[in-house]
Amino acid sequence: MNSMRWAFVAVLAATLVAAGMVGISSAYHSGGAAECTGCHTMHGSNTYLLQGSDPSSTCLNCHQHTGDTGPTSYHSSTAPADMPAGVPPKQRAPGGDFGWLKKTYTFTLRGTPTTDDGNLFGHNIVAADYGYVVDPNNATAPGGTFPSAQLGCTSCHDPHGQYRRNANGTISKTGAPIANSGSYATSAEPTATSAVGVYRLLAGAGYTKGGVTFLGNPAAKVPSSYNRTEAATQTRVAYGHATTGGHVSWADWCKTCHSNHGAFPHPNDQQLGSTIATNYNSYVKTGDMTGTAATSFTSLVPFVENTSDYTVLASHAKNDNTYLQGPSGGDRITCLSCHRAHASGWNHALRWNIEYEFMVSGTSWYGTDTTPGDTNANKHRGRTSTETAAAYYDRPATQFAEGGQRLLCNKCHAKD
Amino acid sequence: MRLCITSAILGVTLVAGPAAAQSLRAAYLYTLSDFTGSIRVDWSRVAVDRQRNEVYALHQNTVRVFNESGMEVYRFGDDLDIGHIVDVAVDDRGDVFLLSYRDSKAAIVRCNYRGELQARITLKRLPAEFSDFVPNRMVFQQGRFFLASSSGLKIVTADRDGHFVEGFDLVPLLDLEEQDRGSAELGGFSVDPAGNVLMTIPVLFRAFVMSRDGTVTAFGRAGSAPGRFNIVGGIARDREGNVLVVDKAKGAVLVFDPTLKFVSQFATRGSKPGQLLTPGDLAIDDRGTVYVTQAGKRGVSVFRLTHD
Ligand code: HEC
Ligand code: HEC
Ligand code: HEC
Ligand code: HEC
Ligand code: HEC
Repeated sequence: MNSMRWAFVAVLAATLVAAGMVGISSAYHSGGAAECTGCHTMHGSNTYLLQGSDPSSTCLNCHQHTGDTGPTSYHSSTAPADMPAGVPPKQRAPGGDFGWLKKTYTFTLRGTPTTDDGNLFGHNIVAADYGYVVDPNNATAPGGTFPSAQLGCTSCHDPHGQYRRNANGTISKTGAPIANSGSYATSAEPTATSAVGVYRLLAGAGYTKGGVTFLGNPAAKVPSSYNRTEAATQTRVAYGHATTGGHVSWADWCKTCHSNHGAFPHPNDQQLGSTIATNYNSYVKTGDMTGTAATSFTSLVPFVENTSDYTVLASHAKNDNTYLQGPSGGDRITCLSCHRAHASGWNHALRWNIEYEFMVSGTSWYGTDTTPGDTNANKHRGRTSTETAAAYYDRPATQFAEGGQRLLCNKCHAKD
Repeated sequence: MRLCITSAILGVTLVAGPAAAQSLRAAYLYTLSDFTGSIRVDWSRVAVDRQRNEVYALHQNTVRVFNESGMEVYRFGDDLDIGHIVDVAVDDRGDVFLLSYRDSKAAIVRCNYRGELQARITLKRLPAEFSDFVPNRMVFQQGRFFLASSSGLKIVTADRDGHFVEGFDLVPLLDLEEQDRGSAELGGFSVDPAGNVLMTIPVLFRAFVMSRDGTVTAFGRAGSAPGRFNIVGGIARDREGNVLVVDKAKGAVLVFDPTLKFVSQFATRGSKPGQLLTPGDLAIDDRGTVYVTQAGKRGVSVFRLTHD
């Protein structure tokens, strides 16, 4: 054990205690650093005296738990024991379930055996104890230099949750004590004497990992119950656009590691403009453009609201369909309009399957059970209809055009 | 009383606490195996059959039955077509119960000792407060089912036919607040032969014993020192009344005496025989055989606990 290091830890702990940040509360991270021993052990021998073989295993000690029957609290990963072949991962939080990375689908496509390898489905975090391994294809972040071998939860999240949003709207790493999480629609706002945590303990200005340094935090609010089925009502994250006072836009945050992403050079951060906003608002499904702005939102194609006001975002972060307002021309498209942050049931952590031009089969989801056979392989790509439904967060296939629902690029482009 | 530490064979480290009133010996025996070698799956569910000294391990819809020497003697489950099996329990007659989910609906399936489907049991007469009850843990003890929803923080007991007997909402019982439902969840859940419910909540660094009348005793404190909790997981009581608590982070099993005083802990974090890598759950039979599930493709480690 490295006593020097622990002396330092002890000092930091003392500082944090003095700042009123430590204490067992129901919200484990309570918007800031949690009980040190949840993640560190004095008697550990590894780097940072962590409670796992690596930082991500440490996180998964709580963020994955065997025995899940459905979306469960703050779990970000489903244990293999809970997802035998044909059974999809259980979590339905906005970031997505890392468990998809452990699902590999094989199917025969026009006579050729084809594989959708799980490592394509998102960010391959390295968590040795939990069987998550380095991405075998990308040595670094596509369009950047961040080494895949170092990718873990703490590449994107600050484990000590030091970034805080202050009453004056700025984000800082030190300052007033963090009173509570700032992520939730119901979280209290900062006051003159207390700050709140940044959205999802995400890495902020000055946070350096794998040779890259983040320039700020993105703004958003999420309903306090967020890991849930969207079979009946949608979970709406209200993503905001803030670029000053320690903030960066959502696309710029992702570009910390994907600075040069060019494989699919789609505009990002760009305002939708009135034509595309009108498309979004009118689009119900393929061939049906009778929608209205007040009910047009879909969590399969979220957008960034052109506001940096967290109270406005909080009032839009709903999980009961009471706020389904679509975009206006000033709102924006971002990476998360198409991708999930962690992983999804589809290649490149996309929110929908882009490998085939249609999405549903009549009134059911594509699947090896509903649309079997070689000629249909591109539709199901080896998934059961249950798995396809799970990848769409359990919404019914009947929400889409029975006669041939096309890809959701059309939500904005309406070319169908 | 004399403080007595007995370090056991095969490299199992035993660390005694100040309250050690008895001497405890923990020996690593083996990993649950079949004829091809040890079965290296992560975090199975384990349930012991106290009558027959057998142990059941569930992983991905396959239930494997092991004899007293930890060798697989039988397996079933995959062919039952009952959806996704989430927990397994055995009663004194040797009947096997499987808690399963299909289309988000829970059902208990009763099988005979050969794993052949005998009956489907549905929960009946659930009071309104438990209408949203979605159990993911199940124990059969004292002629009853004890079902728990680890994130819903509710427990229901039901008779052999599924009739509701009692319901417990852990939020008030554990002095939590409504907002904690979903943010605090059970890490370990078991029921001792007397019908007391044992539970851990990792994010609170606490373990709990709920007796038959619903009174709750809490114990444990956060910390890395022996006897303290880092991230607690499974919990179970042995025949002597000691309570064993798994610490996922330490890779150790902590032993508390019947008065819930810390006695000692065994195993350390690591990949050598007798060490544990992120252990999850545990079960203990009447002979003091302890089955500990873990990660890192290390399977279920088996220890023998003896008291001098
Ligand atoms: C949620 C898990 C978690 C909690 C709680 C936690 N840490 Fe850490 N800590 C980590 C991880 C993970 C690292 C490894 C560094 C990394 O990956 O960023 C780390 C690294 C450190 C380091 C060395 C690197 C650095 O950032 O200076 C110190 C010192 C430290 N922690 C102190 C503490 C103290 C003191 C507490 C309690 C107030 C605490 N930690 C609570 C997860 C945690
Ligand atoms: C590539 C960056 C990245 C990595 C790696 C990452 N996260 Fe996240 N995480 C995010 C972002 C961004 C969000 C917010 C997603 C949203 O609201 O759409 C998020 C959200 C979350 C949430 C809130 C629930 C949800 O899914 O929306 C939890 C919990 C979480 N992350 C835990 C983890 C854990 C545990 C790990 C490692 C196993 C991890 N994250 C790795 C970026 C990352
Ligand atoms: C800390 C650095 C980091 C950040 C921040 C980050 N990524 Fe990545 N990303 C990586 C690395 C490294 C890889 C390559 C490893 C892999 O594919 O698993 C990657 C891969 C990807 C892939 C390809 C996955 C595949 O296998 O095809 C997508 C898509 C992606 N990132 C999207 C995003 C989005 C969207 C964000 C912002 C929410 C983001 N990334 C933020 C590091 C990062
Ligand atoms: C309009 C939807 C859309 C937006 C917005 C978008 N992407 Fe993508 N992204 C895609 C699609 C579709 C692919 C798959 C392209 C392919 O298969 O050729 C992809 C692929 C990727 C890949 C994998 C590329 C590779 O070479 O493996 C990464 C990384 C990625 N996107 C990151 C980002 C980041 C970072 C942003 C924001 C700065 C972003 N994307 C914005 C749709 C989008
Ligand atoms: C959230 C809305 C949205 C979604 C979803 C979306 N786009 Fe776009 N797309 C835009 C906006 C905004 C522009 C820029 C508009 C402009 O320049 O007129 C754009 C521009 C484009 C362009 C022209 C690019 C250029 O540089 O001129 C192409 C091609 C395109 N999108 C393809 C796609 C594809 C393919 C998908 C699905 C994978 C997709 N888009 C999904 C909003 C969206």
